[in-house]
Amino acid sequence: MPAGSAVTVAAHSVSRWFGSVVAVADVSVAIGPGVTALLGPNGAGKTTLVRMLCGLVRPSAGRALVDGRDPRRDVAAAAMIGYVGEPAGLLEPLTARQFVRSAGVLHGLAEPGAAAERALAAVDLDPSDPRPLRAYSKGMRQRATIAQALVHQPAVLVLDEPLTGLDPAQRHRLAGLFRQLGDDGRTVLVSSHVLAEVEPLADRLVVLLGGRVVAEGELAAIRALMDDRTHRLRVATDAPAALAAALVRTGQAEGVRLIGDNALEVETGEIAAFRAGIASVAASENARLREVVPLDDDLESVFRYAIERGRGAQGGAW
Amino acid sequence: MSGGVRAIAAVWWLVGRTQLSRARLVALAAGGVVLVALTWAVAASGGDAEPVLNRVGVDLLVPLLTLVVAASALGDLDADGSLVYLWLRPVPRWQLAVGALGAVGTIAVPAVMVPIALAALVAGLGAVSGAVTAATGAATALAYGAVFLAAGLWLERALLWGLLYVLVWEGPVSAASDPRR
Repeated sequence: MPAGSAVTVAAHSVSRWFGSVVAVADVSVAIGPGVTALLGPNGAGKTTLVRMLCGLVRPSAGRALVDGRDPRRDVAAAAMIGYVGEPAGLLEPLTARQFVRSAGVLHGLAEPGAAAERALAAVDLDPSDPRPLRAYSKGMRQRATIAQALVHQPAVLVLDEPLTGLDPAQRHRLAGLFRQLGDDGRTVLVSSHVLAEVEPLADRLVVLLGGRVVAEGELAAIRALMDDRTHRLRVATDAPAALAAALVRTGQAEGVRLIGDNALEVETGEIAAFRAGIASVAASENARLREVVPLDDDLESVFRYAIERGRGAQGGAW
Repeated sequence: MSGGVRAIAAVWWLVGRTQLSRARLVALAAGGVVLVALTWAVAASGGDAEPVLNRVGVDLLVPLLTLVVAASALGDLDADGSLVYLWLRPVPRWQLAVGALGAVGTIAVPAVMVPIALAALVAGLGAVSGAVTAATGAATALAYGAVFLAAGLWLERALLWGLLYVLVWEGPVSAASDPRR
C-alpha cells in the first residue's frame, strides 16, 4: 500500500457522559502518524474515546477532529478513516469478499472488487472463499473486519481491540501489518487492555483510566516519568553473595535478595547510577557479571505505574 | 452509475441481505396466509369480506408486516454494532436512509401486496378494486417503513413500541374513531 499522508486525529477537551455516568472526561490528545496505543483497563473509556475520534459518538463537550475536520459532519474526514470495532455480526451472511467489496463501493472506489482482493490478501484471507463470514473462525472474521478497514487505504486506521480472539501467529502477522502501516506514515490508533498485544507495535502511548488520560507520550518518556520509583533487576553472577553485599555497602542497591547460587534480585531507586556503577562494583569483588535484566521495565510496568499514579491523583494523593 | 446511486445500491443490498432471515420470511408469509384464510372464511360463509380485507389487511397487516422488517433494518444493525460499517463511510446520511428504505420496501411491499391481492381475489372484489387496495397497501407499507426505520434507530425496543402503536392505535382507537362506523 502506498504511504499515507500525515493526518492528525485530535481530541480537544472532549467529554462524553451517558446520563450520570461520565465515560470520558476532558480529554485532550493529538495522535499523529505512526502507531499509538490507547491503553486502559475495561471501562476506562477507550471505546467511547475512539468512537468520538471517528465521529461515531457525539462528544457531550469539546471537539474531536480528523485532519482538522469534524468527522460527524464532513464526509471527507470520514473517507480518511478505516475503523475496526466489534465484529459485524449481522453482516455475517456475506462472504468476506462481499463484505470488504461493499466497503470499497461505499468509499467510492473505482475498482472495489480488486481493492477488496488486495485488502483480504493483506490479512491472509482467500478472496475466492465462498463461505459466509458466519462459517469463519473468530480470528478469520476479525481479519475480514480489518480488511474492510484497509480496503480504501486510509490515512487513519482506528482499531478497537483488533487482536482479540486471534491466535499468536495471526496476532504476530497483523501486528507486523499495523507496524508497517505506521511506518508508511499512516496514523494508526490501537486500543487495547492487553498490554502484550500492543507492546511490539506502539511508538507512543496514551493511558486512559476512569475516562481521563493518566499518561501520554513516547514509551521512553513515560519511562522517564518513572525514575522516582524503585526499579527491580535480576543480576546473574558467579559470586552473588559478595556482589550483593558490595552493592548494599556502596549504596547502589536499596535491597538485595539472593536467587539460588548464581543470581540476585536488586532494588534500586537510582537506576542510572546503578547501570553506570554495577560493572565496577562487580570488578572490585572479582564477580563475573553474566546478565543484568530489568524485571519491571516493560509496558506492563508502565501501565501499572500510570494507573497507580492516576488513582493517586483521582484520590487526591498527589 | 454515479457514486451516489452505487452507494444507495450497496446499502440497499447490505441491509436487505441482513433482513432475509428464515424466521422473518416465515413471519411475513404467515401474516399473509392468515389474511387470505380469514378473507376466504368470511367469503365462503356468505359474509362481506371487504371489511375484513380493509380492517385486517390494510389497517393491521400492512403496519405489522412492515414493522417486522423496518424496525430491525437499521435498529438491529445498530444494536449489534454492525451499523458502524455503514455509518462510518463517506456517504451522505440521506443516501444511507434511501438505501435502507429501499431494502425495507423490497421486502415489505411484496409481503403485503401479494396477500392483499390474493385476499381481494378471494373476497370477490373486481380487478381494479383489488389492484387499488393492493397499491394502497404498498404505499402505506412504504410510509410505515420510513417511520419504523427511524424508530428502529432512535428507540430501544422499537418492535415493542411499534406493536403497541399498531395494536392499540391502528386497531381499537382508529376503528372507534372511524366515521364510517
